[in-house]
This record gives sequence, structure tokens and C-alpha cells, in this order.
Amino acid sequence: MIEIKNLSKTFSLSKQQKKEMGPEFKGSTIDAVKNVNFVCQPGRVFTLLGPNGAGKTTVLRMIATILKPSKGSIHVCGLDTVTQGMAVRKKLGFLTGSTGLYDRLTPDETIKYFGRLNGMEEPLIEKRKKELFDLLGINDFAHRRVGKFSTGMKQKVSIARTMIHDPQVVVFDEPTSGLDVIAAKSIIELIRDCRKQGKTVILSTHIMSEVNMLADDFAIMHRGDLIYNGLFDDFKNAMREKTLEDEFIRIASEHDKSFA
Amino acid sequence: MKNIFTIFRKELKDITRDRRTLMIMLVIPLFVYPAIFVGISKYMTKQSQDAGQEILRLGIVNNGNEKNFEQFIAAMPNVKSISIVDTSLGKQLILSDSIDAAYFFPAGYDSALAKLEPTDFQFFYTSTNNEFEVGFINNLNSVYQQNLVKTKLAEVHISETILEPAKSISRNLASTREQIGSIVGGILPYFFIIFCMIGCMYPAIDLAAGEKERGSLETLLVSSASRFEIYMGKLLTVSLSGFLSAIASIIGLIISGQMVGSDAGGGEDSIQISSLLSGIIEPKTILLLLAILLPLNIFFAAVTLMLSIYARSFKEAQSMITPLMIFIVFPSIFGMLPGVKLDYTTAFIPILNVSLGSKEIISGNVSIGPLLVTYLTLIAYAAIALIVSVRFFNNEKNILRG
Repeated sequence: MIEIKNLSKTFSLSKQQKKEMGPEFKGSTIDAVKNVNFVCQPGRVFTLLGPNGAGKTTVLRMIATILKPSKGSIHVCGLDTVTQGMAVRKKLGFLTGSTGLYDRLTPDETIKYFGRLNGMEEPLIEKRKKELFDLLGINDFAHRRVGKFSTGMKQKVSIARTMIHDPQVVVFDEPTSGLDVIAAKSIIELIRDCRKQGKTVILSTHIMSEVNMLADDFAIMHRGDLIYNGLFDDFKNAMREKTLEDEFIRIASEHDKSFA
Repeated sequence: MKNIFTIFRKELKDITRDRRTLMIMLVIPLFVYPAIFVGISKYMTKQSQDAGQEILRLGIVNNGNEKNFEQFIAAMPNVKSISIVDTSLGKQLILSDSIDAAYFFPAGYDSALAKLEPTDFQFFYTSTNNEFEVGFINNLNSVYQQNLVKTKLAEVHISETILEPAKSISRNLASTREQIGSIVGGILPYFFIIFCMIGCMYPAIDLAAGEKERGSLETLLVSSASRFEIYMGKLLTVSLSGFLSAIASIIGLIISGQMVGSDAGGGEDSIQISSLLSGIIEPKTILLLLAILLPLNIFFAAVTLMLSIYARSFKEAQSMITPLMIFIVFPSIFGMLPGVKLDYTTAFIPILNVSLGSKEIISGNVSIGPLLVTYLTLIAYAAIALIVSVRFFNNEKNILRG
């Protein structure tokens, strides 16, 4: 389970970043996430929808202990991400659209490396690696270097790396961006499997079809604010527009008006 | 601790599978010294041999009825002379490389000499000539002048000793190693320092900025390894890479020594270079050199990793780290200058202290106090760089800058 309470993140801006914000921007900091609250339950997919720059990745990075919250708290399986970071990471898997693999290592070496870093014993690494390689069909290229793999092959290795330590919580940060249809489908399957296995899943995306396919719980982020949080079915039932895209645009526009 | 070793092992495997890194880290340092020493030795031997066989071509414009010079030249082996009508033709022949030098004896030269009146002769040459030719001509003039003086003294019945009542005889107490070491000792540390830096530079860029750019750093940060463990694993790899470069260059020196020493056709120069190298290739010298290069490598590794983790991309890291070479090359070159010595002041200046310390170690003339201060200073600088670099790595602003 992930519990997020009053979460905020403020970044101080460099001179260059201030310049990039335009002449009307006067401050020296930017609030990337503002007082966000939500809970992700085991066995459910919590989907975080929002445009680029909404603050989704910042929230996920704080959950993954890469960033520290400026205010508020995050508990993963009851563990505080700030004071118990290492214990949190042992329970966490993190998958992004960029496969982030080492070109000069083989899948076998990559998986063993991350297994060891996650504190697993060698026999357990071997057992788990075999299960994942069989499931994902990696055995044929397990001892070839990753550098020349297709995106689909790389994504399979990336999934195996994320799941090697059988994490209870899996964070997906726009996992299908830049992937072809086949590779993207394998990610969708993985998310469904995680739900079936009772894992807590948080998925950040701006692809509406993925939300439709996967969301149990649903939240919309816009300009650092959480502007909707509830059951996806409730959201669909309350929609004023015909499509999810149009409804999302309507809600975002209303939120924009509150800034004007 | 286990994670540091796991990361170190993986990073080492990763960089040693990269041909470009291997080339920079091991192959180039291994071959630079053999190329320099064997090349210099062969070149000098060839120059000496050529000089022995070379014929010096002289043109003489003798308007002054000078007989001594022509007789003197005729007796010289490897010298051919021709008579020339005037100096302008002589100059033309030199510029067209038909002769190496032209002598001009003015009218009345012989009579002035006979009367012991002041007179002069001119010789024309180009200073860009082969240095052996220039040396030969200078030597020729000197011997000719001495012969003239002897002849004139004999004519007036004065002993030659009047010219040098007391001879000064110099006895250089410096060993051959010290003498040659003081000359070439400066260039060896320069390469050691440069190799250490280059050996650290590429892996540091690849393991920090490269990993950031490829997106693998984020996944590594989400593993159970702490940031300190990740940093230390990378630092050890980068330091080892720089250290291996230094070791490769020392192995290159050993190979040079053996190659130059076994060169049967080598002359005096080869023997001197071989003697210098065999002096350096003593276990004590190598250990002292490695001990000075170890903290230097940690210092370089910490600084390059710090800049690399700050950079947004591989390219930006390269453009940030490459200018550092100026700060390394300048003190290294300064250390080569004659008269700059390791003392209690220079021992505190980073890079310069390594350059001077290594120079002393190579020439076998070590001042214990300043060298000890150098070691301590380097350890202190390495520790400071390490602490700052760890803090830098722990700062989320730097690590996720992109």
C-alpha cells in the first residue's frame, strides 16, 4: 500500500531555468507538487493521469525515494520513504519508458546485478531469473549483449529487472512511451499480472486508452495539483463529455481558469 | 560494503568491454614510452651515424691569399671545399643547398695576420641547417683559430701555457641517473599525470553523465543500494582505471628500457637512456611512484565524477571536464622547468607537487621531508575532493539535473 499525505515538492530554480520560464515569472522557486493526498491499495491499479509537467513524475520519484518531499509524507507498506528509504526500495519496482539498460551487459548479467543490489541470495536470484526469463521469453538472448537488441527485447529485460526481487509495490512511470505496439502490450500484460498477484500498482500516463484498460482508482494531476481522486468507474459515470479525452480537457481548462 | 563491491565489479566489467576505454586506459599509456624512448634512441643513433658519414661542403672566397685555412681544410676528413668567385655566389649556393657554408677572406687578410694586425674573416651559413652541420662548422672555426694562435705564439717564441696558466678541470659528482634524470625526469611525470587524468576522465563521464543520459541511473537509484554505495562503487572503478593507466605507462617504461638496452647497434645515447630507465625500474622507485599516483588518482576520480554527475549529458560532461586539462598540464609543464624544485612550499601545490616529487623519485635524489609533505597533501586533497564529491552526489538537484 502507498499512503500519501499533504505531499508537496518545491524546486529552486537556476538562473537559466528562470529565463526559460519567461519574463512574467517572478519567483525563484516552483511548486511542482502541491498538497497531494491519495492512497494506492494492494491488488488495484492506481492511475495518475496528467499532461506533461503536471507533477506526475515528481510524485513517483518521491515514492521511489529518488526525491525527498518538501512537505508531507509518503508511506510504502507502512515504511516512511525519508527515514526508511532503503527498506522502501527493497519493496519497490520502478519501470519507465526508457529501458535504462547497460548496453555492454547481457540480460543474464543485468538481472543478477539488480538481484544482488536488492540483497537477494544467489540461489533465489537464479530461481527467480529462470521464472522471469521463461515467462518473458528471454532465454534465447539471455547471454547476448543488450546493445543491439530491439526495443521490444530491451523492454522485456527491463521488466525482468524491475520484477527480479518480486516487489510488493510497482511504480510505472509512462512505461509505454516510445514503445511499439507489441512492446507496449507486454507492459499492459505485466500491469494486469501485478494486479492479479495482489501487488500495489501506481501507473502514471497521459495515454487515455491505457487508463480505460487498466484503471481501478483514478487521479488527475494538473499544474502540481491533484484535481480529481476517486474510483475510475465513478469518474466515467459522472463524465459530462462523451470521451475521456474531452472530459480531461474540460476539467483541466476549469482548473486553468482558477489560476487566471 | 557488499553493494559497493557489486557495483564496482559491474562497472569494471562494463568499462573493460568498451574498446574505446581500453584503448585510452591501457593501450596508449603502454605504447607511449616505448615510442618515445626507442624513437629518440634510434633517431640519435642515426643522427650520429649520419654525421660520421656526412660530407661538409664548403665554399671559399679567398681574396686575402689565406693558405693556412685551405691546408687545414684539406687535412680534414669529411670536408670538401671549392673556390668561389665572390660572396654573393656563395650565398646563392648555400640557399640552394649546393654547399653548407661559405668562407670569405678579405683582401689583405694574409698580410694583416703576418703583421699581427687585427683582421677578420666571415663565414655564411643558415642557422636552420642540420645541427650537426652547424656544430661541425663551429668546431672547425674554433680549431682553425686555435691553430692560428699556436702558430703566432710559436713565431714570437711564447709558450701556449700563457693562454691558460691554470686549467680548470670539472668533476661532476652527479650519477649518470641523476644527470639524465634531471633532464628527462620532467617529461616522465608529465605523462604519468596526463595518463592518470585521461584514465579517469572517460570512465567518469561514462559512469555518471552517460548513465544519466541512458536513463539507467534512475533505476540504479531505486535499487536497495544507498547513494553512498553507488558513488563509492563508481569512484573505485574510475580510480582504478586511472591507476591502471599509470601502471600501463610504467610497464611501457620497463619495455622501453629492455628494448633500448637490447639495441646492439645503439650508441652512447642508447646506453645513457638504457641506464636511466634501468635506474627507474627499481622496485623502490616504482613503489614510490605508485604511492604518489594513488592519491592523485582518487583526487582526479572524485573531481571528474563530481562534474560528470552534474552534467546533463555525455557531451556536456566532456565539455566540462576537458578544460580541466589546462589546470593539469600547466603545473605539470612548470614542474619540468630547470630550477623548480620540490620544497616545503611547492609540496602544497597540487599537480606541481606530483610533477616535482616524481621527478625527484626518477632522478633518485629524494628529499624525504618535502616528499612526505607531498604525500600528506595529496591524501588531504583526495579526501577533500571525495567529501565534496559525495555531497554533490547526494544532492538530488545535481543527480537529476537534466
